[in-house]
Amino acid sequence: MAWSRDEIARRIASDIPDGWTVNIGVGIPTLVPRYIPQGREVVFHSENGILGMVPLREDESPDPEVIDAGKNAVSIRFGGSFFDSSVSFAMIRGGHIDLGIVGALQVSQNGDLSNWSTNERMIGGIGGAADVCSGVKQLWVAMMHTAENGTRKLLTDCTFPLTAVSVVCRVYSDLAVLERDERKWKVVTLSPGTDLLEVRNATGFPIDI
Amino acid sequence: MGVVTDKRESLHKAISAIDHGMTVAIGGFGGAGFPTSLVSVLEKRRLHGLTMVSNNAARLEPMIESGMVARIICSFPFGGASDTLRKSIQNAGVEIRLLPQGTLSECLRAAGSGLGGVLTRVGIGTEFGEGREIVEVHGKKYLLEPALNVEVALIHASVADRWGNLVMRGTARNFNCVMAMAAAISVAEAAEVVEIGEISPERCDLPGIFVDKVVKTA
Repeated sequence: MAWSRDEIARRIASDIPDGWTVNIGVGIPTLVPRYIPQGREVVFHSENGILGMVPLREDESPDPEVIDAGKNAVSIRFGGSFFDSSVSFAMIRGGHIDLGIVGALQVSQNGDLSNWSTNERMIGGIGGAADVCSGVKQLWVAMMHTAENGTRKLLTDCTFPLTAVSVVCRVYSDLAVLERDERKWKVVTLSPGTDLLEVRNATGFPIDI
Repeated sequence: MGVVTDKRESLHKAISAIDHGMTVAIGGFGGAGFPTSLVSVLEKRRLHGLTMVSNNAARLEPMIESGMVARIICSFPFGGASDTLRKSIQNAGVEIRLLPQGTLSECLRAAGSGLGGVLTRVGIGTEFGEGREIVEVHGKKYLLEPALNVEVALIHASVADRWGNLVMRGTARNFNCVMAMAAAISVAEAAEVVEIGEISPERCDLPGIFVDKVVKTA
């Protein structure tokens, strides 16, 4: 059984070490904070000016001036802070953030990432994606392994406009967790019932065991 | 008796500072920190050829529809944008100039800080690096992004005083501070305008030196 979007998020959450500061992008990454294991202290950063972002509690009323990068109402934990865009991107570019988790349209063998535009259509725009992908210490991608029509998204080279070059460290997909070292990729884990051949067939570059 | 500094102005008088062909920055990220009242008056002006500096285009829709906008400098123009808006932008020939969000905010900050531009590695090897001058510092290559000066900035705060000192809430700070810094004339709207001294000097998000006009909103 391939992992669902929530299972991908849970898998990512369980791999984030205690004490890390993490920027999360839109899509599957927004699900990650709710799966951080109890007792682990992970601080979430949102590009629009929050450190210590947490999901809105059920009994909490939404504040229109406290939103995440996807414009959803969120909340802030004890120890958190608010700041303006220039300070927020200083954190991002300045290497102060341990990990970025983003969605992807395509990832190349070299670790290049495309996630803001197909050649036909700009999704929303570049937003903060280029800054996050080139600024954080590590970048993990959360994505479905192939497009809905079965087209490969993990390719020798990206065919869509690039967000950043040689930045992706890991891919968490519905089929597997993959890790990159230069141009070599290996499987960290396969989803239950998925075999290596299936992952290799769904991937446009070679994968080691 | 010295001259009393009082930056308070009416909504309409403040917006009358904007003229045809100007470059106008609009604060806000999503609805947070968006200067709704100021923009609602600007929308009714019959201006043309404006260059808008704004993270997103969706909230500029009425101005795009009425043909006021020539160019938008932004990072995430189509976030929450309808197909109608996409079509209008195309039909009206509105130029979209995309900048990575951190570059956009930092180029505004540079403009307001007396700097000629920003050296950044963001965009190297992508289309965001195309046509940029490359500068090498300490053995590393950077893109040279010129400072982004604007003529007028429209921004939002929670609380203001007559000196233009501002207090903002939560994620409503976003671009508002750097846009005010980058502007020749910055106009701040606030629902609450208080007496001098009521804003704690320890809790002032933007010192009034960066603010030229204060508009109290209903």
